[in-house]
Amino acid sequence: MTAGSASRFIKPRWIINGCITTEAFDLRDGNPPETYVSFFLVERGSADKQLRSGYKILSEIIPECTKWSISIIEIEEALSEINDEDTPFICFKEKGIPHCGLIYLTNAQEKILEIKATLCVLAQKKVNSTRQISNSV
Amino acid sequence: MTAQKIDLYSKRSILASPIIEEVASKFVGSPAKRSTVIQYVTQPQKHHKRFISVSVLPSDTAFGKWCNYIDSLEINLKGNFDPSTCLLSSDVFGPLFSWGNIFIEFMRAIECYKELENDRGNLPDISEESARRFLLLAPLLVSTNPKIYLDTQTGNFNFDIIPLENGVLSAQVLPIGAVHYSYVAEHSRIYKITGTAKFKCSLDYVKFSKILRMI
Repeated sequence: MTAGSASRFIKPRWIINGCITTEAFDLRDGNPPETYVSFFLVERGSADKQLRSGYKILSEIIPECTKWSISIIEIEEALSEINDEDTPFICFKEKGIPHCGLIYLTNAQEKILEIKATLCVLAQKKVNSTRQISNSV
Repeated sequence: MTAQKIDLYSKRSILASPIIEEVASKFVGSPAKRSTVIQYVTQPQKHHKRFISVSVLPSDTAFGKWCNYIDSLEINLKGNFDPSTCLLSSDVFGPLFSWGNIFIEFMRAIECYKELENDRGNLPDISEESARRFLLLAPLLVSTNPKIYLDTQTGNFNFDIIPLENGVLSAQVLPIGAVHYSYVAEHSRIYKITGTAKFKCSLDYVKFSKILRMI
């Protein structure tokens, strides 16, 4: 996948002072270990339309999501900003549309830290709480 | 020096208030300001903003004392975790945990990780050496309100600091005397400053302040 708008569902504890933290893009180990960071593709259009589209998906998966937030990342922009050296560091793959996954292609912790920080800055451009989104629906 | 313990299941003292007072006396020279800091560490909420307004870095002597204490601790973060019966509620840890919210956040990070471990299982053990080295950095982070969490791939302590501009400084404290950091922010476009700080001696962790100055 090289284009499209993808929503990431943000838990309350991943936000500090209204800003998304890098924990939101942590790849969790465990049994089984996660191999990608989950995103959901949303409809094209204005930021409001994209956020409402993300909210529709999230509220179906987690009905009690009133304290969550939703952020939108443009896949093309994320790939361009993060894959800025000779070899790519991330890619997006379909996981049963609209579900898709961001896959880290490096194990270097220093690089993963940079990638997650970059995702934070990108995700901060379009983010809103589910409470406010639901009020606007 | 006899090893002291951070044992999650006991209430043994690791830092007593005279130590905090002594360290505070090195941080802030004048008795009035020193009093503010000491009041702050015993009444964190009331004096929080006042403390932040006093921009201080520990002197070499104060940081040396801090390092001695942290280096002498025997940190045990294995097993179940119940903050209501250990560090947070214990009087003897009060002076330590009153240093802003940083130690409360430190404990929350451990608690969240333990919960996640119960839910998902098979997480790496929390790196106790990473915890120790995070504590070495703690005096530098008091006024930065960091978000602290444990990396689920490595069990190391991570922290994020949100600066005033649109960006984030993210760091991972390795158990081997290094701290990965990445500062990503937006000016005319997104820019990144990424690297690894390496410290062979606990005393040198104070120099992480050079990285913090970026924000």
